[in-house]
Amino acid sequence: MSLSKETSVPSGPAASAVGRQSEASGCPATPSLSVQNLTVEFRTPEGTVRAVDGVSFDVHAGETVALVGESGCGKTMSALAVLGLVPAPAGHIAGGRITCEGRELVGLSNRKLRKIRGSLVSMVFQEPASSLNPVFTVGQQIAGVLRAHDGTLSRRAAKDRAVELLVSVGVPDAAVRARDYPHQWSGGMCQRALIAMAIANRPRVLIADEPTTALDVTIQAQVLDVLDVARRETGAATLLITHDLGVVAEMADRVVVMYAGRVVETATVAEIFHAPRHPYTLGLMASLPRLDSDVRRLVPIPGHPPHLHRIPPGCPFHPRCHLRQGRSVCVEQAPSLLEVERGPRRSACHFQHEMSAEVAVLAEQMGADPTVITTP
Amino acid sequence: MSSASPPQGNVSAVESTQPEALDPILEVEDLAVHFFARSRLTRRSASPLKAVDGVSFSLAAGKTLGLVGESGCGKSTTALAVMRLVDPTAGRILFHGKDLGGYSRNQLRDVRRGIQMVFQDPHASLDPRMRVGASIAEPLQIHHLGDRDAVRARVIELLEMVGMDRVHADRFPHQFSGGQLQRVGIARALALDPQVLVLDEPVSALDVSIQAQIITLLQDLQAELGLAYLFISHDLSVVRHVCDRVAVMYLGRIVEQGERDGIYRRASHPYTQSLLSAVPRPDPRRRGAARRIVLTGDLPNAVSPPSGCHFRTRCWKAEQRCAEVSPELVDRLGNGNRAACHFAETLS
Repeated sequence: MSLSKETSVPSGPAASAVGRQSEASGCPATPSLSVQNLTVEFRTPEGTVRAVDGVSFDVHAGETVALVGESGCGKTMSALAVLGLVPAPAGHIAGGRITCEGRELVGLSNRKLRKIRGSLVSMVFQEPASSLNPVFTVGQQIAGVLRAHDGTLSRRAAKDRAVELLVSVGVPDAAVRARDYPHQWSGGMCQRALIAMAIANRPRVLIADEPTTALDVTIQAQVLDVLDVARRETGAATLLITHDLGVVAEMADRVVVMYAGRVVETATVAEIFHAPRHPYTLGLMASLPRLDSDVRRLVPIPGHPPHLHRIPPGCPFHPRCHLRQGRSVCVEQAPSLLEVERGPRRSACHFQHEMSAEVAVLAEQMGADPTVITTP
Repeated sequence: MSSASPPQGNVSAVESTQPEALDPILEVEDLAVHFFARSRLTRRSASPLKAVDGVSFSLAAGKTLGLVGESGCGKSTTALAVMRLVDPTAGRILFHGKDLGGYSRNQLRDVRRGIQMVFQDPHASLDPRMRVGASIAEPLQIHHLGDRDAVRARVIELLEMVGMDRVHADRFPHQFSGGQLQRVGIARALALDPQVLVLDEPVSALDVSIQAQIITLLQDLQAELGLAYLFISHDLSVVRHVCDRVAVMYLGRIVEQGERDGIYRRASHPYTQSLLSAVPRPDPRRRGAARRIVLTGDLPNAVSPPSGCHFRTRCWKAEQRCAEVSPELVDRLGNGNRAACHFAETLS
């Protein structure tokens, strides 16, 4: 039983020197993962829809970037595009570039993508139980991932390495448990196994799609710790996809907020939570019940996210926006993702300069300690 | 039908027996729900799964009691037993002081007018082939409350109460978003003018902006109609925001119970403490500042729970005594929280 904030996970056998270096020297100039102007379209009986519309972001080695937004905002589809897993034939990447460690991933053949998946880029999915193959043991599946990318590895060596990996993600009695089938494992343990599998080949980019959403809160805390250790040890650039702003606040360095397939704001985690510069981000903060501070009343965002077939013209958020106040530019013109106060942060709002006043208005309506959503 | 129809039938004057709640509308005493799995081979029943094992609480009119815990702790089974959708193995459920235990189906029908339920998944809890207006009207028709026009008028009134429009009555569930469907579910639950709503994870399936809409709607309805809520959730932040009192469950038992602020500020059961410490805070400034108690291991099998205190296998305080003696749910520290722990103490 660990009572400290230190993780209960033993550190892995081979902590990567590369990872430590890149973490120590801050963000290197070239990002490990760069997504530029990504557009993903789906053909449906009612016409073509854009699930992802001109999305750009970078993730550097050792850094965690959170992709946040509500169901259907395109966050998962952006991640699947990185792995070349957009469901075909209905969906396809209609434009944009995805580069990983300098290699262009868009347009690669399936054979080349298979070499990249699980080695250069790997992914942890939301449903741990359904991501594992029920007819192979957990150990066999991890060994399989190792041997798929390293033809010289013997079965014996792969099996030993699989057990080492399970130890590193905190599976007790790993040598014995590796011979279990997935149904013999709990959800939290399965998610550890998937993290072990994802880091098996020391990926440069680790994508985690809602890794703790299906888990109970005490198990979630364990898995987040394991994920953090995995990131530190491999030095991988981590793309964390989640709708849970608590997880974002604990894990992310930078945040990309998506709405209706577009990026509406990107900033450091502190700026997102304490000085949001897009009304949608602020709306999310004002919708959050808090564990530590009193909020007299939540201020929900009215209405609901648009259907992809009927994305409003101009700014897609304008029908729900409190800041718009009837101004026509919001309907006529889609705002570009522009720099805020010449910093690296960006917001796609025509009236982003009015946001600090808007934050004060909402804090007042919430009856909250204003530092909940403003910078003290 | 009129929205002000008084409670009928088996409702009598309130008899307050418990000092902690001034006006208990719903009391649950030593509730147990055991499921018996039978071996096909031997035809003998194995040991029962004690989904709910001696749970007691009371709910006051106009107040909200939160029932929190992780999956498999028995919170939803408790809700189903209160609704008599599963039959309790033991214990009493008193509504307005009357024990529902001996009631027949017909008698229960009257009582159910007073206690209604809202389910977690609005897509699954509404019939996809019925227009939502018909779904809302169904309870009124079952209870023969008014003619066609009166029912129609009441449906529209209910839709407007939950922030929807009369034109929505003629649409089908697939034409709505999850948040709108949950509003419909609430409207249906309100149709019979209940005094108690059992809300089983009512906002868990919803996105955060929609979740806030439903939470504020529930709060407004409570203020307006004086409803009592039994609010079941795994989300400790939501429970803190909506509840007056909180009961924390673990493996079929309540491990700690008290006023909201008492639970959140002075939790004295190790399980409550670990739960609260594990919730990720939406405040990056706090990162690393809080001491997080990471529990080892998983929930034990509910068919063969640990002896004595159920939590002892994951507890850092466990001693021999915890395996031998099941701790009573009592206020050991005199701070208003009742905790089922031999070593209850607040974290400094």
